[in-house]
Amino acid sequence: MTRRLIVLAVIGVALAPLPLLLPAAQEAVAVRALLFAMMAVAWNLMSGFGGLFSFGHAAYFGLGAYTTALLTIELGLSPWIGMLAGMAVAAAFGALTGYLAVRYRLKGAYFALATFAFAEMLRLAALNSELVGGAVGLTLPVTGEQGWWTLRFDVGDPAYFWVALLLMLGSVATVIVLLNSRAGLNLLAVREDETAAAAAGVAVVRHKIMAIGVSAALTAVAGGFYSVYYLFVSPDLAFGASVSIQAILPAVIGGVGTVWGPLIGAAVLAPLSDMAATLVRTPPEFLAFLQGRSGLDVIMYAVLLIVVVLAMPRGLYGRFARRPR
Amino acid sequence: MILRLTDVSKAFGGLRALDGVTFEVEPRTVHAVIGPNGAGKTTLFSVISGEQRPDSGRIEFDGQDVTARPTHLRARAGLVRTFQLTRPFAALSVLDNVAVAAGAHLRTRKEAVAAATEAIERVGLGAYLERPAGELPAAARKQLELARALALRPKVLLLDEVLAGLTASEREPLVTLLADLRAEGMTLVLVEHVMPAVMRLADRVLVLERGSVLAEGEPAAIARDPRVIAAYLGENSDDALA
Repeated sequence: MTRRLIVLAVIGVALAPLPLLLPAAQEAVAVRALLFAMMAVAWNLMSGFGGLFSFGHAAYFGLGAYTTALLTIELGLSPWIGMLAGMAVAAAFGALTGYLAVRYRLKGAYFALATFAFAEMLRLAALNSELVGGAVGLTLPVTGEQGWWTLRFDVGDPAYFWVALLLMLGSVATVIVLLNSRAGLNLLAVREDETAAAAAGVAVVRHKIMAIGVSAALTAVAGGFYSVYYLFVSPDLAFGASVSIQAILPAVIGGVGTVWGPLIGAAVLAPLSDMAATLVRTPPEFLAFLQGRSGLDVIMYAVLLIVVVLAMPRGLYGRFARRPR
Repeated sequence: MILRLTDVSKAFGGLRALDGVTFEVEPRTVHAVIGPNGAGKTTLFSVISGEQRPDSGRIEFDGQDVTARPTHLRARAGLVRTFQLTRPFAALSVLDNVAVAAGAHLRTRKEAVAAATEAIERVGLGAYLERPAGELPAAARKQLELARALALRPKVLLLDEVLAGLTASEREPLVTLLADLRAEGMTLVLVEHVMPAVMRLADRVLVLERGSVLAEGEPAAIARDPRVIAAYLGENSDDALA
């Protein structure tokens, strides 16, 4: 564990000067990569280490985003408090829905479908609720006191990157510490064989719900940061299926069930998604038909996913690492 | 009485896998459960360990009614089973496999690792500590099952064919180990087809047939019981019991 935490600290120190070196446009990509990483690290805890394949992490992301936005707009609270509240809400929602899914013995694809359905349920609820702005969504105040407590800075301020970096490091550290604990080892045992884990004295349901709850809370942090950074949340941006995919992809590309895979996946994916967006906005002559089309990024994700799954089923990290734990 | 089943029945659809099974196990004894394939031996273990709830009947362990208690709590209380078809945590190392079980009683990971190492060495798997369990050969997987069970500090150890599929030379140390465990005061319940081992270890033998108790008694008496010979041992009973 100590070795992994040291590696994490080195990653943090190496990334910290990045916004001072990069042009503003690239810094936005770097923040996007950190956001991808946070989501994928959280997804990987539940689905990679816990073996509970989620296709509905948008639920937790959205709860974090909306809770943070609402508390900031309505009560003028610091986003830090909003994120903490969002973590609690998402963890409670995750634990409750997770309990239902586990209690009724949903496994594999059926479990994944249930998580997807819960996320869709929240999306429709947000879409139809005036309290959270319905289809229009919520816009956070741009003006007001700036600083680390309000997390309000000038556009392109390196502080945004540093906040995201800290949150990402915190998420990974949480996973590392958890994996090294008895609960973490038990979780891996549950993933490998539930029946044998129970026979070895492990409370199977409790460990699954713990994994879902912690994963949901970490995802909510990403959602909270999203609302602070982009200053806007809507049902689709918060609870849409593409959000769930964004949590899955970096982990799958980097290596499911590895500590570093999601980070590598995020570092690869964020620039690619930015390139796709740029391509659609200002395509070169021979690709002029792409002008203004949406969905190119999704197609690109799909192609990338197929390539990775076929060529290196254990992901980039799994492909090149000596042996995953 | 450390383990008592009273009128336990379990049906799967129309099949009565267990039909009113009643039997008792005295502490510090070895109880063998034998019977033809499909007699209900593995179902009996599943019901005792808690993976299957009986449709009716009562299971008492160590003075308590555990009929409704979940598997992991029975295991922690000392009612521990192994699996006939081994179930290693394939991606985890041998050490971690056993540390999961050892952790049920120990607070820190360090203590769990120490206890796990001891159990692994006891079953003779010491050379494989860091190996992923999924890479172990069949005989070593059987030993791993046993190590994982021992790490739970069982009072009653249910062994589902630990000797099956092993060569005579692989069996020998395990049989010795089982005899040692019994000498240390552990209660063993074995489902076993390897008759010489059963006859050597068992104090009592329970014979199941089609989910019901056909006979129960001392090995020598069971071996002579004409019903048992007819139902299970067949004409070659002398060989089987040799």
